[in-house]
Amino acid sequence: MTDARVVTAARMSAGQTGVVAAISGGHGLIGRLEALGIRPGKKIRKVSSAFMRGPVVVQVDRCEIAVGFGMAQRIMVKIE
Amino acid sequence: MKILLVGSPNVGKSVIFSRLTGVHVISSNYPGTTIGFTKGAMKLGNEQADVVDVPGTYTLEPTSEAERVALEMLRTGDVVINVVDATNLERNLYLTLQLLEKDIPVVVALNMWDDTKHRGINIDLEKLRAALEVPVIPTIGLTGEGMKQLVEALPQAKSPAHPPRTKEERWQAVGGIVEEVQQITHRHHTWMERLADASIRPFSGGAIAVVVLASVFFGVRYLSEGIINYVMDPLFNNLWAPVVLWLSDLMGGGGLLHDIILGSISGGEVDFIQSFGLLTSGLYVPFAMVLPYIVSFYLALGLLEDSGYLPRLAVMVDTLMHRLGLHGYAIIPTMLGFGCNVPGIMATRILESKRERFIAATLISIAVPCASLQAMIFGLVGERGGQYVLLVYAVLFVVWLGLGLVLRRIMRGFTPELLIEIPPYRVPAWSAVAQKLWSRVRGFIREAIPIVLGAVLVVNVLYTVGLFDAIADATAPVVTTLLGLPKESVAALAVGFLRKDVALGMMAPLGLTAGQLVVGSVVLAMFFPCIATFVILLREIGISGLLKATGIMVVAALATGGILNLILS
Repeated sequence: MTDARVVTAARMSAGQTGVVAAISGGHGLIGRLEALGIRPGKKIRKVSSAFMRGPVVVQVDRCEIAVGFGMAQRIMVKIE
Repeated sequence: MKILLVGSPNVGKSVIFSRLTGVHVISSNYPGTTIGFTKGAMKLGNEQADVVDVPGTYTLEPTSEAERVALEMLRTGDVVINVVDATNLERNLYLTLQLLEKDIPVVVALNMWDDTKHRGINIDLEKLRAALEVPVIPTIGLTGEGMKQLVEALPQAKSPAHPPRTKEERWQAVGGIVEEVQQITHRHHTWMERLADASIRPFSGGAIAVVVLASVFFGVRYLSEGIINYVMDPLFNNLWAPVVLWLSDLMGGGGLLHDIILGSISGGEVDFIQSFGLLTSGLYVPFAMVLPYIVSFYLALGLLEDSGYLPRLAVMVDTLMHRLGLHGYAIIPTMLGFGCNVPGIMATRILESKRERFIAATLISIAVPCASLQAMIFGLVGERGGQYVLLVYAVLFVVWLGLGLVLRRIMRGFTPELLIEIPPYRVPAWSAVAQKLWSRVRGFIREAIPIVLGAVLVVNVLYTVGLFDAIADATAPVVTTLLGLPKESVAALAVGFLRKDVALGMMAPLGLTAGQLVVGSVVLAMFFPCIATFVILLREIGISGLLKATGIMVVAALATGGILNLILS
C-alpha cells in the first residue's frame, strides 16, 4: 500500500487510470453511480474535466459517463 | 396479452417498438428519449397483443420518477422483452437479473448485436442462454434483423424465478456471467472514438461545439432559403398566382367573401405575404415560408440526435447552465424548443427536480423562438439586413441568460448535478433520420396548418367587425409609447396567441422601420406563448406554475421591448 495513491475522480488527471476504491456518499448516490457501472473494484479511466468545477467524464467498461464535479469528489480511486 | 419492452436508457427499445408495432416513435441516440410511455399493438399468431415501450431504467430500485413508472408498469404486463445493449453487457445484466427474480416471463433481446463485432466483443450466446435460463435473441433494431426470431421466441418466454438476491450478490452474479460468456479482443481506437474524446475536452470540445452549432444555424438557413427560392416561390408565383387571380375575377374582385378567401388583391398581382386571405397568405405563410425551415431544422436536429452529439454538448454547457439553475442536460429540451416549444417543454421531464423543470420550461417559452417564428423572422426581418436578424437572436440570448440568472436566485432549492451516460458516436442511419423527419413534418402539417388557416379566418372576421380597432385603441398607450409600435400591431400581438408566424406576417403590411420590426419580433417571441405551448405548460408545470411563468413573461416582454425601443429609436 505504500505506492498506491487514493485520489478522488475529480482530482485525477486526464488519461489516468485506476480502480474505484470506494464511494463516499449516501445510499442514493451509491445506487445511481452503481447503476451506471461505477462501483468499487471497477477499472476507471478519467477522460476529461472541464473548467470551473465543471463535469468530469470517466470511462468504465468502454462506456463514458459524465459526472458532476461534486459527485466526482466522492468517487475514491486507487491510482495504478 | 400485454408485452412490455424493458431496458436501460438508450439501448434501442423505441426502435424495436417501432419494428414490432409499425408505430413510429421518436428515437434518438441519447438516454431519455422516451418520456412517459408509448403503447402500440402487434399481431401474435391470431391474437392481438399490446406492446408497451417502457421508459428506460437502469434498475428496478425506484430512484427516479421514470424508474417508479417502469416498476409500476411491470405489475400490469404479461411478458417482458428485456432489451439489452450487447456492447454493455455487464451494466445491462443487472436489470436482467432483477427481472428474472420477478414473477413474469422474460425474453432477452440482445440489441446492437452488429456493434459487438467491430468493437471486439465476442459473446457466447449458448452460454448466456444457459446462465439466464430464458431465450436470448440477438437483434439489430436499426435493420430489423432478429425481429422475427424475437416474436417467435415470445411463447417460450420463461420466468426462472431466481431467488431474490441482495445488491452485492446480484453484481457478483453479473460479474460471473460476464466472465464466462464474454471475450474482449483488443483493438485500435477508431477515429470516431478520438473525435468522441476531443468533443468533451475543454478547448477542442468548445471549438467543436461552436462549429457544430454554427453549421446547424447557417446550414438550416441555407437549405431553407434554397427550398424557398427554387421550389416554393416558383410554385406559388408561377402556378398558384394565376389561379388566385382567376378566382379573384370570378368573385368580382372584392367584397367580404373575396377578402376573407383571397385577401386584398390589387393591380393584377398577388402579394402572398400582405394580401392576407385564406388561399393566399393562409397557404403561403405555412407552406412557402415556414415549412422549408421546419424541414431543414428537423433534418439537422435528427442528425444531431442520432449521431450522439447532444449529450456531449450537455457536458460542454453544464457549467454555464448551472448559473441558470439548470444542468447541462437541459440543453436537449432547449434544442427541441427551437423546433417547437411544445416537445421542448415536454422533454423537460428528463430533468430531475420540479424547480429545474419550471426554470427550463419558462426559459424555453420566453426566450426560445420556435422554427415557425424563426422562419418568419428570417423572411421579414432578414429583408432589412442580416444584422437585424442577429440583433433579434442576440437580444433573446441575453434575455435567456438574464432571466435564468434571476430565476436561479429567486427559486428556492438547489441544482442537482449532471450524471449522464455518453453514448458512442454513431453514423446516423438515413432511413431512421428520414423516418423521424417525416413524422415531425407530418405533425407540423396536421397540427399547424389548420390553426394557421383558422387564425387567418379569425383575423379577417375580427377586422371586418372592427374588434381589432377597439382593442388597438384601448391598448394604444402601452404599445405606442412603451414599444414604439403603431397601434395596429396590437392585433398582431393578440394573434400571437394562436400562431406566432401568422402574427409576424400581420406586421408586414404595417410599414414598420427595421428597428420596429426587431422590437415586434422580440416582443412576439417573448410575449405570451401560443395556445399549444400554453396548454402544454399547464399540463407540465401546473396552473400555479403557468400563472407564474405567464407573469414573468408579460413583465419581461414589455421591459425588453421598452428598452429595445429606447435604444433603437
